[in-house]
Amino acid sequence: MVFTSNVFMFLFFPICIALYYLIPSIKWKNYVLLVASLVFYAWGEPAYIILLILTTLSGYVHSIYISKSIESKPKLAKYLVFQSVGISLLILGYFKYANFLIDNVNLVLNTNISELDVGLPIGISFYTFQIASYIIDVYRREVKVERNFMTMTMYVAMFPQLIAGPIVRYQEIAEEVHDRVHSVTLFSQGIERFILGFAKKLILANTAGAVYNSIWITNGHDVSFIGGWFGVIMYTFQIYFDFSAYSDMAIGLSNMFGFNSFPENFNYPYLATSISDFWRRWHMTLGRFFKDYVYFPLGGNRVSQAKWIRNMFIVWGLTGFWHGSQWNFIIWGLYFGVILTVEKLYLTSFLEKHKIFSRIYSLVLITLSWAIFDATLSGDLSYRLSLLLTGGYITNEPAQLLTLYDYSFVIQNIFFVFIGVMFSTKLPITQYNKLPEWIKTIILIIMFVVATSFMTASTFNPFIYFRF
Amino acid sequence: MKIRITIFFTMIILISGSYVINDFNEVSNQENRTLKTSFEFQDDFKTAVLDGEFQDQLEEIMSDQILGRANQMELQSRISNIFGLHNTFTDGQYKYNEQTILTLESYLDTSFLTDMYTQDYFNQVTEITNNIEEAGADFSIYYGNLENYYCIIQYQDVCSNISAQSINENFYNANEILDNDEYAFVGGDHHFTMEAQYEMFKEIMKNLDLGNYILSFDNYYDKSNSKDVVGSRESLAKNKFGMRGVEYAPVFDNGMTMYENGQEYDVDELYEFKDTITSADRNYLTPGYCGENANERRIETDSGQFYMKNDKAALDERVLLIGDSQICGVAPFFYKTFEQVHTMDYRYQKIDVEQYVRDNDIDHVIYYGTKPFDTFDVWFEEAK
Repeated sequence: MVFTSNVFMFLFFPICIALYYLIPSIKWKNYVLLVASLVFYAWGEPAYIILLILTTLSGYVHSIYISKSIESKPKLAKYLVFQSVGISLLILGYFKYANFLIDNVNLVLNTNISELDVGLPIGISFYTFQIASYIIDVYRREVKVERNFMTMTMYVAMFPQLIAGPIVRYQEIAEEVHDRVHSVTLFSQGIERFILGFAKKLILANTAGAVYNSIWITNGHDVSFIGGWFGVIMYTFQIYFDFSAYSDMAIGLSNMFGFNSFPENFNYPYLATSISDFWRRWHMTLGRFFKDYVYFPLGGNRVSQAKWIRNMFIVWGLTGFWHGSQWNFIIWGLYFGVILTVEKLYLTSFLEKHKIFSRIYSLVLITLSWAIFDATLSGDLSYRLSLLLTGGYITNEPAQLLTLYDYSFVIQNIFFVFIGVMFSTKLPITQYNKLPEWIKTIILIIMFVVATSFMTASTFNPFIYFRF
Repeated sequence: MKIRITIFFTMIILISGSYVINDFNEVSNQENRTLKTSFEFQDDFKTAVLDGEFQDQLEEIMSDQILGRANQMELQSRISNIFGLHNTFTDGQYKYNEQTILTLESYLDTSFLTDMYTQDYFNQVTEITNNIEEAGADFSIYYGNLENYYCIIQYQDVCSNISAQSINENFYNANEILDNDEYAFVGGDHHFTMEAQYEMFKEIMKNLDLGNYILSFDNYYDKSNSKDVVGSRESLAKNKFGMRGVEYAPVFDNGMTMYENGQEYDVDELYEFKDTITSADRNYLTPGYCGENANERRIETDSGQFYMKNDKAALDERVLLIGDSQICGVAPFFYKTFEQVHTMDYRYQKIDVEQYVRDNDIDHVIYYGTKPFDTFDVWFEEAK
């Protein structure tokens, strides 16, 4: 189920919220939330609900034994951590990476191993990471072990964040899971955040996505140089509005259910003045995960330069690989690994002194990265890079500067670029926050009505991060 | 804050409640389609739930039966227009009213294209080509003056697949002929503008050795005779925003008659507003469709086969235009020169071309169409 569907908005959500608030105790409210989350998850893929529960059960059992043995048998506790995280990664690996491995083995060894007939369970990358982070935090004694399996399942499966994050660490919401305050203010704040995300997704992200698709994906002819860049710029808007909108809706919903500590996932990433800065602003909970559970344990930057460079490439290779079992994602991750390494070694002070240049530098590299990120078709990556960087001269036929086909999309959607730029800055929300509450409410109502009309009219409504 | 919460949930409950208390709408006039009203499971309920079939159908029913669906769609369209937002996937999904003029028909929506340009269509076209090739050899016996088979296609060199089989190969790539400011399609639609059609027409005439009969543009399409209700809503919108659009109406002289399905066509009707049938609705079209989806000024008929007769034409010759909706735009250029201009939308009119040519004493057959996808190359190859 997606948030931007009629079934969610006008069936699931009102029933869920009504049941939740009809029940007085937190314990039973949690059960309502758990059942609702399982229904939400099972909506599209009933079969994978078992996988979700078993993965959570594995994490739960391990966490209990880790907490028991952490004092008396530290080695056993450590072993259990590896075992639990290993199981989570094994499940993730089987469903997400097995066919990638088979394909590459076949390619390298010229074998003919058949691909596995498995689909990718929605949200598996998010919930396996949440379980892994919980296990490690229990081992590090950063969080108390959760002894109620239902509560732990509720944490893992909580529907606002289950499918596309943010990656919530248990320690962030542990207190609220057991005792939280429901207030009119928080609820109203939740509605506001949800509607802002709802409108951002339906009006901005879908529109940008459709233009990008028209130019790059469903195009029946070669992409022109200008058209190609325009398409990638539209994708740059799409992926930000899409993913940040989902986080907005997730945080808004969590507020409505009394949670006030879901972490922020985005902080105006396109205002970044460097690529390092960008990654402090983009998908912050994923960056935090890799930093805390991979980069720091490897020694971070408090090691020799050679090891630090190794650490950087491990982290960024994994970041890319987390996004998908395709080479373009790994290349995308390593692309950032290279840039960040060079940036930290040579460019930091220069970028700090030249703010305008640093913004342009960041935006160009970020935009180019999205061309790599979405180049999922065979041969698509080299084609895209050749077109965007050399006008097609290196690997393809030289591209036209602008075809008639692309021209129509560029000229018709040029205004959207201004809208996209504006909503990538703090300007709209800063101005909005200055308004009196009653005007804000009117704006929200209008946005909700308009976004609902977009939802009704739209058949093009994917969430990009669902596939991860 | 309480007011905000109250209003938010009132809206949700209102729409949610409407599913319970309202009778379901069965047909959407705006979308020209039957709406989803009930479940139709292939298997039992349990299997349907486990397969996700139940969920899919419920989503579909709720989406189709949402309160004020038609108004919501109109609102979405208007908002898109105001902000200049164009979603090629959604804009083509429903009919626009007269005020909602900024359409962007999605010819990228492959589902509708595959409805229109089926493999069978290309098989048929290729068969015609073969017939003409064969007829070409026997031409002097059966058809007298049939000389050339022309193919003008916008995008790719699929033309060569057809024209290579004709007696004289004539291929024109629109993209090469047109200057940048003479774009072949406007605003995402795949139809040539009138200027573009004019350029193509001139090329054809020159290759028929009839270049002397080409008149100035104004003789075919009249800018001053523009009427808002005819033609492209998108073009009108572009004009509204000061952008280049298509704003011309066809010029019809005295002595010119148009026939649709054998009946004389009321030329005045050309200026009447015709509802747009959008890409999503193509499957509801009856055979015989030609260009009702008006994205530029052209002949507006419900028939895939119409012909224009001009008693005052310069030549006593007849031309048959075979192809898709592009022929609706280019046909008016020919009637000044030719005594009769026949059209055949071969997606829907599977007429025996050989017989038609013989029956109507056609002198020139021109294939004139669109080929926007690589898939079609494959189909052509298979057809060959």
